[in-house]
Amino acid sequence: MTMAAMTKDRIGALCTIGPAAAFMVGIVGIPLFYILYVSFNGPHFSPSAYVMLLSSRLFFQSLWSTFETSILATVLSVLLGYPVAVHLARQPARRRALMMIMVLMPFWTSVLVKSYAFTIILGRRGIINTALSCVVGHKVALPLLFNKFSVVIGMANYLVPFVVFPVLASLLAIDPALGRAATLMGARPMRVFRQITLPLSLPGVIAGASSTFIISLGFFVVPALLGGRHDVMLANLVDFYTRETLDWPAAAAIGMCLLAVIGMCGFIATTLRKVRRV
Amino acid sequence: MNTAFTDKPACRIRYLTTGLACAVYGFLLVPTVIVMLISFGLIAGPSQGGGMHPTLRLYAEFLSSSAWMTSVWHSVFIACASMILSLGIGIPATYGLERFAFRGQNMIRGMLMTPLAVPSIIISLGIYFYFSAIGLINSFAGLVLAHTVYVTPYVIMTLAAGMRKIDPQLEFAAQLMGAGRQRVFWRVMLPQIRPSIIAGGLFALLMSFDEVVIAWFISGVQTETLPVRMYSSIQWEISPLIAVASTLLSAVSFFACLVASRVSPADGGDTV
Amino acid sequence: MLQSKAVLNGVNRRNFCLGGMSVLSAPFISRRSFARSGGELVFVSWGGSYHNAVLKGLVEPFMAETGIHVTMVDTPDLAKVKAQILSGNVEWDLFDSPGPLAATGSREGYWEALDTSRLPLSELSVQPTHDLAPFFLTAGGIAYDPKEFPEGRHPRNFEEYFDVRRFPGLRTLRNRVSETLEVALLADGVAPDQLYPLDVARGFRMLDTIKPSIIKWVEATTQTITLLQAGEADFSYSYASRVQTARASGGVSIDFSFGQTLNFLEYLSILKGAPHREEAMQFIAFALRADRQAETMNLLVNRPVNEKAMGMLSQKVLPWMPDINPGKNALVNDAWWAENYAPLERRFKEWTLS
Repeated sequence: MTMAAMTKDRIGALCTIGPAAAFMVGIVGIPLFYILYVSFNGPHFSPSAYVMLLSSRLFFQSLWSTFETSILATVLSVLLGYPVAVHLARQPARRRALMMIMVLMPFWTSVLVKSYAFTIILGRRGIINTALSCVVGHKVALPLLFNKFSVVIGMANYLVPFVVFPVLASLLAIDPALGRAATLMGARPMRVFRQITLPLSLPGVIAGASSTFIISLGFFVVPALLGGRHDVMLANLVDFYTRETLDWPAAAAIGMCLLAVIGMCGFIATTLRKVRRV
Repeated sequence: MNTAFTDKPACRIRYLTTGLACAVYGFLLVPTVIVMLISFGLIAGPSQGGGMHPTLRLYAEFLSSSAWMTSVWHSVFIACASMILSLGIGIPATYGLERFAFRGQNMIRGMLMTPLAVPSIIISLGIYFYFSAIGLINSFAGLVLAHTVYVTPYVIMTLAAGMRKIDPQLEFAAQLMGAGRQRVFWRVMLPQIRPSIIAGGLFALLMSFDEVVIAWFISGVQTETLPVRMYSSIQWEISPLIAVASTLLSAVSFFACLVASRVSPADGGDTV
Repeated sequence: MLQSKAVLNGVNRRNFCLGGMSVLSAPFISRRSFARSGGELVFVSWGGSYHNAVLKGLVEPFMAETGIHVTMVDTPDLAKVKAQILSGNVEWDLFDSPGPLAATGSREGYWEALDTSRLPLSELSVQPTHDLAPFFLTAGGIAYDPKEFPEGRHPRNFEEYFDVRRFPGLRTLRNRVSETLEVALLADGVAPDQLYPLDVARGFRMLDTIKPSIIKWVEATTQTITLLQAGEADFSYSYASRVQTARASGGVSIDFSFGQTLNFLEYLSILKGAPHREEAMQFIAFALRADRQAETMNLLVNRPVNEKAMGMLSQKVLPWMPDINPGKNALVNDAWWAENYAPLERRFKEWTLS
């Protein structure tokens, strides 16, 4: 490319991308730095918020809870998403596109709608407990709501599609001839699954699981609506210090920690994927 | 190989996965269905007696509740404004990313996608501090600006997919015949990517319409959106009207899902 | 630090950023200020039946009489008041809060001074302070479903409310330290007249014992009733007024134990820098008038502060009035809370999360 064309391109790029870039810097970039700024106590620089967090049992408890809940939700989502991906992969293309709606629909459904539905399903006099009471014949009131169980269920409900899509993609990339060849050579279906389907779909599972896990770490609405007060995750703690105690430096410091945790996990996930590819 | 020998376990596995998959479909869809049934009075919601009579009573109540309807209009207004603004900055940006070569292209692309990589709670917190400082908190302007950056990555992704599909030779030909870059953009590019613009715009509309975390942080009494009202209502009062609001949101999502499956049917390719 | 400075400069030079933004946002901003200029009073009050009672008894007559439009917002929250005053963006005008919150706000300087000369001082049983107008007296206590828990199977006083062994079941408490700490200390056997100064450590020890049985730390007062109705809680720390109005709405099996109550005053106050101070003052004067107090309290079922209104209450609500005679019942000490609320509130909220 000639020098003139390069310059022209640069000007063109500036004019076209400039406004969007300005928006991103102005409304995401500056606020992100602003969190850092507030976390060090604004104009009066002091690391006191971070020092406070180091000695806060509440912070470490919810840090642990964030990991625990995210891991549980990820495992459950993979367990639920995998059979769906296998099932979809087996359908003829046209039918699959139609059945995809059953995954896309929940994918697009607001997390508020789902959370509300789960308060009705899991409540003490909710649908499950009422049904069980009818079956058993006396009043059943299993504690299903406002605890870790309901949080994990609600999160998995939201996250399953994030597992289905990548796993489906990797399943569809498997050459069907491989399976056929194995069957012809006498492999039982279970063995075909274990030695061909599963290992070849593993990259999809890893991609799905890692993105699910990372999304889980930042969850806010589900633990707030379906969890008890001691099931708070870091995102809820951010909200708590912003709004209920108005300790903005603490909220900002927790936000920075959450961002660091997510960044670290994201970094590990991408390196893992790269290593596998090499 | 004896076919009867292999077929039996094959069938069993087939049935097993189909069964499991159907159970998961149920798990994914049942919550929404239940909410809809409640909204039509077919199931009794929490803290309501009776039930089982199909009725539109809750809908009438919803439509006549000024508090709920105000929040609906706020959401509609904010979603429309964010859509227009995000298309306004997203279309040229995508064009620039796809059709110009310059240094740092990937970095810029990555930067435009930051709202996807950073969890909403962090973005919300930053915007909350920043908007408090510059007096944009509790304002429609603030909500529209925040939602615009939140939806722009989706708009750009949709548009980029559309632009990659069209043949650059056409633009090249137009340029050879003497059309300037702007003319090529308006006359050649835009008409071809119209479906992507519509899809991207609809995504923007819907994503803004059911966005809750950012709005929860920066909206106030005068600017409360429907999702924020729902969020506090679920948390605090469990009004049966939430079922109506939920059905409304689900209808909107269903629409989004139809659009999504038409634009990028996960490898089903033939529906477009 | 360098980065922070850069950000600081960016913010200081916000005129630059705002220049661009204001062009984009001009239509919305003007729309907003237009909406606010029409004499619109924002009144932060409580949700559910309380909302309806205040709407019927006060807000609607006020709008009819003065032509000032009132927007009602649920669930007063002192943290939000602080946030609004700190950011200089005051949205709320009139604040309806129980004594400890009101007194704390007063100590922090969150309220505008009142023009007390416009209030019917001679008729009031409790005198207003320079920035707080008493609204009514209410009684907190134990609510339960008499169908599920007939006489003898539900707690009648706070000691029994904390006795999970004798009265198994899930309970609620408020998500604020005031009231909750008093209830805990009364449950531990502290005499109502020796409650203050509160023995904080003892209170928290007592709360530790009941924590596993608390299904929800209630934010919005309506939930003290709805959680019972939805069956999420077996017993609830609620208010006589709420229980009576729930019963009056019909078809609800719910009752309130007058065996022991925690009484407290509710106040009205005006936010510092509120956009509609004058309208808010007009509203307070209106709310303390005998006829308004009577009509509102007939719906709200609390004890009016205007003594003349006592005589105008209907026979139906009289038995539900808080019992102000000393005995088993305690009265919340607002002055003590003004000094102690802020640090204890934080400690309490962190405690509920852990």
